[in-house]
Amino acid sequence: MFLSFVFVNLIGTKTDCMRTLKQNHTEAVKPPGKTVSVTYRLKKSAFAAILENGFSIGYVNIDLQKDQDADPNGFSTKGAQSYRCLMEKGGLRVTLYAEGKTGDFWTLELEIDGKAVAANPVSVETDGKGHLDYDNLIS
Amino acid sequence: MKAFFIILLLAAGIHLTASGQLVAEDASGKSSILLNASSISINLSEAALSANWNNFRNLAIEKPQQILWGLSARGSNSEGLSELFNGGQFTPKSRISGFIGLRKSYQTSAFELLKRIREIQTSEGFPNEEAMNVIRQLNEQVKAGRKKQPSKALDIYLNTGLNTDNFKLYSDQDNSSLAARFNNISFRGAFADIGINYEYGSRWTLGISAGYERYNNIDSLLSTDYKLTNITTIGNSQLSTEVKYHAYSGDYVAYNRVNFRTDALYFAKVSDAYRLVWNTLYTRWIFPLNESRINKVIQAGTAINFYKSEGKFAGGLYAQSNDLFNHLHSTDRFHERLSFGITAKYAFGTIMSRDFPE
Repeated sequence: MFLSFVFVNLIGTKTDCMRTLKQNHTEAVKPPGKTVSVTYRLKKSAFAAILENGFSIGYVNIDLQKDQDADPNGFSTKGAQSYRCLMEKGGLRVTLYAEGKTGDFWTLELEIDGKAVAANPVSVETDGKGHLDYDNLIS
Repeated sequence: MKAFFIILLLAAGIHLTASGQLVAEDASGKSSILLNASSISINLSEAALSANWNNFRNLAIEKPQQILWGLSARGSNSEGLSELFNGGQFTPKSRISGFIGLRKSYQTSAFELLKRIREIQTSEGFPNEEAMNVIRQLNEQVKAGRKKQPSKALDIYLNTGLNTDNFKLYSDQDNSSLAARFNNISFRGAFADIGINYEYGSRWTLGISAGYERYNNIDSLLSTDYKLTNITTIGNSQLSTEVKYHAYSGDYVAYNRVNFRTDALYFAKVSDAYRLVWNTLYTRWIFPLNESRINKVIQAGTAINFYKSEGKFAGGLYAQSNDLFNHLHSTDRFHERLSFGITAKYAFGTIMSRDFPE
């Protein structure tokens, strides 16, 4: 087995939820790329809803419950908080799955190591099936 | 399009006397659909104020199942904006209610796959190339599944509460004194509704509810302002005092009834800045129980509500037949039984949970 499935409860832990990039003692191969510090700001329209566990940046699951702003339609890293994410050769993999009504949208702004990414803002609008999905590399 | 909205807003400003309604509500503020719009609402024509407190902020994250709850209060006063509670007393007309519901989303396979992805991401030894490949494959499965499946969700809820009416009823049967003809009526009603909402794809939300209610016919009584003058004469002096009454006259009945409501909301994009929710056809079926003096009534209407893309409510219009099949025999002309109105709703970003921010 390339993985030993030890489930970590992220709730209540610090945001550096990704494990240190250490070589697994099994036959697992060290991943290509480097670890970067990521902050984000996600805004969505009123009727859009993000799927549970449906938001990942650089292979790190984003804790939406904890990151929700006072405005229920906003999510962000607060203060000095950041996520330690894996930046691949092609960029930072961002996946987000959401539901919504016609005209709903979400907008994402990312900072990698304190610098805004060129792709800002990433924005997705509801498709015909009521989804607002995104899975791309951002550099 | 901009001109259209200016005209719409001007119309809203001019027709302050028109009946108002809330996002998915009918003219009396009732709906079978739970929208995630927790806010303060002001009804311009009826001078009503309502407040909602609920956990709808949790709806920002879609889960396989989740419990919804909420409390709401609505007060109105014919003489101006009401206070919801006045020194512990109910305002002349008020309604408090609470609901509890269960929401189920039908993205079952996506939820399971996303849970697996999270488990891999948080496992010992991650990240490594092989695990990342598995995550990529799982993401492809999520996307493939969602391409076939439109979003679907079901809400089942129980909504129950109390409503009050405190008013004076004028009766010309009492001849002992004129003042005695004004009787204080304190009506205490209650209601319970069970409802189901079904959301399908990006366009439609359907709602149906059935309920039982203790109600009265104050809406059909004649509202009149009275001025009672008392004159006291002593010698050649005369003292006159005036007491004003706002009272209702007519055959007052408190009764039990069964309600059915249906709504069909259609969501659309008007422009980059504006969206609309069109309640394409809503119906209200009201059947009195064991009360021959009250007729059954069937109402139907359509309502268009505009909101800004970020969610702030902008206004709306509705048309409603208050007696679709003329059970009240008020007039044989269908168009004379129609009512039209405007909608106004405001959200205060600093008060309670809200989904329509400033």
